[in-house]
Formats: sequence, C-alpha cells, structure tokens
Amino acid sequence: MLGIPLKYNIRHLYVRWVGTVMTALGIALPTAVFCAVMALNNGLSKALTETGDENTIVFLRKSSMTETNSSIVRADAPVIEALPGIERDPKTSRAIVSKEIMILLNLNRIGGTASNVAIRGMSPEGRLLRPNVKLIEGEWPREGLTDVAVARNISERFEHCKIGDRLPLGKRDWRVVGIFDAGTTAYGSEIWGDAETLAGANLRTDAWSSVWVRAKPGELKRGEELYNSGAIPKSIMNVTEAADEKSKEPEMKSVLAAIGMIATSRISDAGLSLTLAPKFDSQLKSMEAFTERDYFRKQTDMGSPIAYIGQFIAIFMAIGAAFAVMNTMYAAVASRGREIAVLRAIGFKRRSVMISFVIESTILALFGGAIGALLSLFVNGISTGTTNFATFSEITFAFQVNAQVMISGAIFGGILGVFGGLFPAWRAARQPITQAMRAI
Amino acid sequence: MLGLIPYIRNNLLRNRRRTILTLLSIAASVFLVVVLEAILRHLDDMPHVDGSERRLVVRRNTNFKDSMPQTYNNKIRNVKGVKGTAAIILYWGIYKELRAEYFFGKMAIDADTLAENYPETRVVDPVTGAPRPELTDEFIKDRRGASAGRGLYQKYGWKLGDRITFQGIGFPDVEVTLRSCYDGQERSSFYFHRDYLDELMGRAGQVTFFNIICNTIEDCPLVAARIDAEFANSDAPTVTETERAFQAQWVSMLGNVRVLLRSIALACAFAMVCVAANTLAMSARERAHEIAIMKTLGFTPGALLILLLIEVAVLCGLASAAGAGAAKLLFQFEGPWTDIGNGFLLGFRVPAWLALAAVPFGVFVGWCAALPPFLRVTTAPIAPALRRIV
Repeated sequence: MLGIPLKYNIRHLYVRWVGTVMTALGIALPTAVFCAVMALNNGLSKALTETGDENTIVFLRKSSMTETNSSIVRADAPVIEALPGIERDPKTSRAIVSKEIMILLNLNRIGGTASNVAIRGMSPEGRLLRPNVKLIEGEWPREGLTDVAVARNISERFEHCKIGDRLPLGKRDWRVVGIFDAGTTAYGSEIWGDAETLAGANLRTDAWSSVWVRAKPGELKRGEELYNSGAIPKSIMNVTEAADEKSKEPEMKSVLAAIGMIATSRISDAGLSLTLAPKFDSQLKSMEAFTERDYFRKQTDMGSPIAYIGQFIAIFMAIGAAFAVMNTMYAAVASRGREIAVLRAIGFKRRSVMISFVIESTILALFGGAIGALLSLFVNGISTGTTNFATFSEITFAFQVNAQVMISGAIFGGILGVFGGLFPAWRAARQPITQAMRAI
Repeated sequence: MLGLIPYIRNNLLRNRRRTILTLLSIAASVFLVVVLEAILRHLDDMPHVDGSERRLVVRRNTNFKDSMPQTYNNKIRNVKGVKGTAAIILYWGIYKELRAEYFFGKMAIDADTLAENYPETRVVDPVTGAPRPELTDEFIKDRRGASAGRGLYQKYGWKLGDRITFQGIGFPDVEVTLRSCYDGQERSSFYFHRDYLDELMGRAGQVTFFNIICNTIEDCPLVAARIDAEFANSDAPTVTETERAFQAQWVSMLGNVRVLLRSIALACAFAMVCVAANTLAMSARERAHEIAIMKTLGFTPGALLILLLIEVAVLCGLASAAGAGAAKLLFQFEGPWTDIGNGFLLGFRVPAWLALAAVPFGVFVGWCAALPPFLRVTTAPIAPALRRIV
C-alpha cells in the first residue's frame, strides 16, 4: 500500500494559510493555558521538592506533619542532640543542631491583599544546615537581638520587609537587617531570626517547633542497611510504628534514617543502650523524623486549588478547540472532493486517504500546539506567591516552563488534531468517487 | 426585510454540520468565560451568607492559627453591642487521607452557642432536608457528638449516627458521632464539642477565635474597636474583623488568582474569535458567487452585510445562550463539579445576569470576527466574483 505523500498535506496547509493560522491559534491558546497550568504546578512543587539535603534531618512531634503544627518540649531537645550520628562543626566542634521555632505572621502584599509569612527562629547552627542560602544584602541577625533577615522574594513582594523597616511581631518591633537569597527553595519564602528571642517575644518558651540536625555522611545509609539486615532490636523498631501503618516509601526511609542514628549508638555501645534506653525510647517515640527533602516533598500532597481550576479550564478549552479543528477539516475535505476522488481513481486506497487527512489535521494541530507551547514561554520565570496549604504560609514560586512542559503541550495539541481530524478523514475516505468527480 | 428571514434560516441550515460545530466550539468558549467571570465575582464578594453581616470574628493579631485564652469570652460578652459569642478551636486533622477532596473546616465549639450565632441555619434531616429541630438537643446531649453541614453528608455519603474519625495534625486524634445536620447557604463545616477536645488535649482554656454576633449591623464597627482596645495591652492582642473580611483572607491567601483567571478568560475569548473568524471566512468564501448574484439583482453591499451580520448574530447568540445556559445550569445542581475550587468556592453559582450578559457578548465577538471577511465579500466587484469557480 502506497501512502499519499506528506508534501500534499503540507502544501494544502500552506495554500489555505489564513485558515491554517486561525485554526492553529484556536489550538494554540488552550495549549498555552495547559502549559501554564503545568508550569505553575512545576514551579510550586519545585519550590518544595528542590529544598533539601539527604543528610539534613528534621524532628517534629509525631503526626504534626509541618513545623507550624509541631511542638517539641524543650526538655526533649537534648535527647536529639545526644544522638551520636550527628555531624560536628569543624570550627567550634559543636554538634550541628538547630532548635527552631516557626511563627506565622499576617503581612500585606505590596499593593495587594494579606497573606501569612513564615518566620523561622533558629539557632546559629541553623545557617550551617542550609549552606545554599546566601546573604545578598546587609547582615545576618545576631543572637539575642530583635533582628531578622528576609528572603528576597518576600522582601520584594511584602510591605515592611526592606532593610531598615520594622516588622510588628509579638510585643516588639523587629528590625530587618538582611536580605537573603534561597533560590527556588521553600526557604525563599521565609523570614529568619534568632530562635530564643523570637520564642521569648511570642511567649513560646516551653517548646520548639522542630529540631534540625545534620547527620554524618553515610550515617543514613548505614542505618538503612542495619534495619534491612534485622540487626536492630525489636524495641527500637517501635519508633517506626506510625510509618509502618502507612508504609509509604519516602516516609519510611526517613524514619529509618533516624533509627540509623539510634541504632548505631546502641550497637556500638551496649552499656549506653541498657541504661538510657527507656528514657530514650519514650521521648523519641513522641517524635517523627524526616530528611529535609521528604519533609518538603510531603507538603505537595495537599495540591493547590489554583491547579484544580486550571485543569478544569484546560479541558473545556480543549473541547472547544477540537470542534474548531473538526470544522476546518470538514471544510478542507468538502473543498477537495474532486481531488480526493482523483487520488482514489489513480489507485490510492481508502485507508491512505483517511490516514492522509488525519495526518494533515495532526500536523495542523501540532503546529498550533507548538505555537501554544512557545506562547507559554511568556509566563516562564514569572514569580508569584500562593499559600502552601500544608503549612498555611506563603510560598513563592516561579512558573517553570521546561522542555517537558512544552513537549506535553505540543502532544496535547497533537491529540486534539487526531480527534478533530478523525471524522472528517472518515468522510473523505468514504466519498463515492464518481459523484465527487462530477461535482463542481 | 422580514421576507428575508427564510434566507437567513436557510443559510444557517445549509451546512448543518458546520453550523453545529461552530455552535459547539463557541459555546465551549462562552461557557468558560462565563464560569471564570462568575468565579471572579464570587471571590470578590465573599461570603455569600445572609446574616453574616452582623457577625464579627476575633482572632489573634499575629495570624489565624495562634490561640488566646478562653477567659476572653466573658470580657467580650460584656462589651456593649454584643449579642452572643462562640468560642471556637479550629481543629486540624485528616479525614480519611491527606487529599484536597477530603478537606473541610473542623471546629470545636460550645454546642449551645451554635444556634445563637448562626440563626440563619436550619437543623434538618440529612436525607430529606425536612426540618428536625430535635437533632440540636441530641448533639448537645452527646459529648462526643458532632454536627455537620448537609453538603458534607451528601459529599461523603454520611448518615446520622456514623462515627467519624480524624487523625490530628498537631492535635490529638478525634472520634465523634454524627448527631445533627444543618443546612443553609454555608453547609460544609464540621462542628463538635469544645470541652471534649479540651479533655483530649489535656489542656483547657485556649481558643483559636471567637465568633460574635452583634445586636445590629450598625454596632459592628464600634464593637470591633472596643474588643481590640480591651486586649491591646495583654499578652495576646486581638484583631476583630467582619466575618466577611475573615473569610476573604482565605481567598487572599491563594495569591494573585485574579490575574491568572482573568488572563485565561481573555485567552478563551480570543480563541473564540479565531474559531469564529475562521468558520465565517470559510462560509464567506463559499458564498462569494451568490453574493455577486444578489448584488446583480440590486441588493446594496450594506443590505447584504446587514443580512450576513444578522445570520452571525443568530448563530453566535444561540451558541452563547447554550454555553452560558449550560454554565448556569451545571452549577445550579450539586455534584463533583461544584467543588472545582476545592472548598474555596462555597455556594458557587453563576449569576443569572451574567449568563444573560453572555449573549450580547457572544454576538459582539462574532461580529468582530465576521466583519473583515464579510466586508471583503460584499464590497468585492461583481464580475470577477461571478467568474470565479468555487
């Protein structure tokens, strides 16, 4: 079976260029919306999933999920600090542990409505735990002072967040002394200050929100191996009860990581495990540990209402566009009745005619899809904010149009073309030859 | 002129398939434009609950999650102009699993204050919707009882007496029994006993916000000022705002949705112009021959243009009416689609005026698309048009 040359279709699209462009635009716009929604999702989840180091671990109160909900009684923090698997700062030889507090503050967007911004109070070690966060202006807040540093994205978009401004928080005003850049990570939507001062000013001196530690390199892997080999006593396994029930992969791994630290301490030093075990267990059992990456990734589960509405819209636009493609293709078939008859007469099979028209409509749609994907580049990099509905705090993100989004967009357009072209192509193929030849 | 109606009708019916496809694609665009516009109006105008004008919400000055002492209740009750107060703990917990579709507002409240503060709600049977005032007492009597909006009953297929468990997020887990059901414009919140939650938490006396009902609407601003003044110098200063403003915060948290939705609506309208322009250009091209004949018969270009524009108006008007009507109808009924905003578009309806306004809008857009090709055809010289073979 011989196919009708592709050139035939392309030439036709070119000859009817006004119609081609119009139909392509009709496809391009839904595609652009589709791409923009994907880019939004992408940017949002990137902000959450790209935050994180496998060796940084956060301890929260069990089933609190986020720092804003969690509280770890201050007396329990030393239990974590005493874990042997924790990396030490080579300069001070202190364990890299940051006791942190998270507070939400309702702030006004510049020229807009209000939202909750997360304020993170941290120990001086906190910055060692996030080496990718860079100060770009001013200085870091000092311990014991009511100073804060603001992420650049927040500083640009919210009132009272420029250097020298005063932020009303708790019973005092806080001075903005620095601006930092945290790239596209979740930290890029925060305000940082000193944990102890923030806790005092907000009457939260009984508990921390979370405790962050840096594990020694390789420690987590060792813990995992120990766990898999069954070397860890059953009593310690209790710590993982909650994770076992849900048996979700990333969660499991992070809890294992935490066990890794406990287990090494016990196995290397049997004496310690005997004397300290009961206390150790009861306190750690009330906590949950995640690697930094898993912690932020979990927050994407909630999804964004914006994305919901976006998908709904893209589907309806696609339906409208599919009808438009059908219309154009029916017109193409109708106006080329004689041509098709001639093609059939010189020996092309029905199937070839049908395939040829479906291909033509797909080319048309792919063209539209490509325009749409290119159009969506206009939103690429636009930075905006919405609320992370897991923590209820503002999260800044940038639309991310990448190759995957654009290819998906073009495919989305192409699919419209296949569906839109199917019925007209069927009609073209079924046309009686003699009648079509006779028609003017 | 009236005699030309059959001409218009026949033209529209000449290529039925094309007319229907054009109609459908325009209808889809109008549907979207109407829904998006309605969403924007809805967001601007939250909440849509009658009776909420008299209500105020007292929250902490920092954010809506921080708590304050329950002892504020007595002080607030004594503020001049206050009719009733309800101390509420906003409870965070997971129903079934952490997915947006299982999310709804859960509040621990003093059961007896519910009726006083929300006089516009009716206690009803969850299945039939018939009034059943005795359920209120059953809820009050059962310390582990709960009352939920009828919307939740329908969404999750609950029945009275069902046990509902929440896995607490920063709160203890809660297991309560459904004892009552309320209906009103707001019908998707979940209430249970505050003293029961206090007991589970092992610490009493902290609440997330107070819902206040004032004697009159005029009292509200003064009451708000008085309450905030009362606690200004305490450890936990307050912000008192209208229930409307409090609700609007949730929307403002979404960020710049307006710009996003508006630009998509624009894209839809533009896509619609492209589609219409293309189809109309096709039909104009096909008709060049007969239009030339009509001009030979004495029709002026102006008259022909008017005829064609009337045809377009009928087509686009019908399509818009179909799209807008579908939008209006769809959101008139409860269903999975009513939740497109995922809890953010409570009681979302397409206003009738908006659906009606969509018809002239559609006609206008159609005309914009039709004018260039039709102008060209009607003003083209007769002889070449007659000579051309389609």
